[in-house]
Amino acid sequence: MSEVAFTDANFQAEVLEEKNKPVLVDFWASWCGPCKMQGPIVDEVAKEMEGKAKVGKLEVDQNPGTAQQYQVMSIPTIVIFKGGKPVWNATGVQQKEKLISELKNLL
Amino acid sequence: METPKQRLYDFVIVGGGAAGLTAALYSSRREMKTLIISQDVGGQAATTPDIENYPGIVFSHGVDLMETFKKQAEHFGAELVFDSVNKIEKLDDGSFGVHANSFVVQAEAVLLAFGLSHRHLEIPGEEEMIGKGVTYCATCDAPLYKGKNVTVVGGGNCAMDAAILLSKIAKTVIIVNKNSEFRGESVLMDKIKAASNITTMFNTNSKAVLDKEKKGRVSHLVVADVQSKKETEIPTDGIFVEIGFTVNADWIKGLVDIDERKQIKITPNCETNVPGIFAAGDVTTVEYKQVVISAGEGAKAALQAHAYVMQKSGKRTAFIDWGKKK
Repeated sequence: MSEVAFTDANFQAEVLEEKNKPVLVDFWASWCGPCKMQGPIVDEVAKEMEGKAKVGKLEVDQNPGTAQQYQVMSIPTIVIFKGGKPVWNATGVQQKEKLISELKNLL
Repeated sequence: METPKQRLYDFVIVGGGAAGLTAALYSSRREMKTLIISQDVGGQAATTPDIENYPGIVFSHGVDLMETFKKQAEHFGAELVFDSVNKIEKLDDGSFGVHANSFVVQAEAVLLAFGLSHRHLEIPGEEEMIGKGVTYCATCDAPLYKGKNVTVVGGGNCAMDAAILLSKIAKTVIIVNKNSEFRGESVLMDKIKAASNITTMFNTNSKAVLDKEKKGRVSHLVVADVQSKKETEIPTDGIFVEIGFTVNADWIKGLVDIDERKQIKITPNCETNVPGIFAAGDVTTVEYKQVVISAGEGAKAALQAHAYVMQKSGKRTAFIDWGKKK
């Protein structure tokens, strides 16, 4: 599977210390209707960008530390990191093409 | 998933809420090639935490019920793509060109079922702070405000629902209500009174959203007393705007008749004033906005659209529900 489950515990290693590829993080929760629409779109982005970008999800209920650190106040929120820094973010359901084009801009 | 499989459809449905998904179920079962174009699945119903008044379903989370609506429509062949429609034009042969942001399809009949959108406060700072403390979906975002101080703007059932939900999660909840009393169910008013951490400011208008420390997130809501006009800055971590819904009708202006509330005028069988264009659910003049009503309206619209397409092609309408072709 190309998609990664990010957590408070692995965020540093998986996201912040990823030197080469851009990393897309989908902040979501099971109670959030729109997140259930975003999920499958992110799965497709992960498949399409396999090898070029790291794509994954972070469940905010289980991992409140990271959500708080990046001031996630509405979900779904997507943040793209490059070189350990957040470089792009958007709130609300995002379409596949948009996410892929944002990732490609960072390659 | 993003672009439709075909260019020509019998029935294109704009909106994937209760009305649109039910219409798709009915039209697919009549073997109409059906495409749903929607920004989401389930519309407002999907953001309703608990649904207890949909007959046959004792209890369901809104999002789960709507997911079932979608699966049922897809099971019979309906196709769903995520996009927004920005224009519908009538073509010379009587069909319609439906323009979404990333594609155009042709349809024999069209259903407008795009529901209602959250009404915004339209005050300075609001748009800039969406997702940074300003939110319109308490169900989605309330749990992100654990132990925080939040503000709910509004005075109806939605505002009270949001405040009650938030009172169990946040530290304090202030309701800013421009009227002198709540308007809604007394059960909810009792719950508001019983909650020890909810305070209500009546006769209070919301004036501006501030990010005083320039941290990229909400810091204060500026409010003003309706009579004295005296302004106060309320420190807050989040602003939940719950002031009702409005039809996002700008793009259909001039296409079909709408009323003074921008709702689409329809006949009892969901026809608009333009033959071939139908409308159903919350976006129409039907007074009661309920999941079960939208579902019923969607079914009616699909049956009427089927009759229209059959008549147009010179075939007789069959009055039975065909079921899935084996």
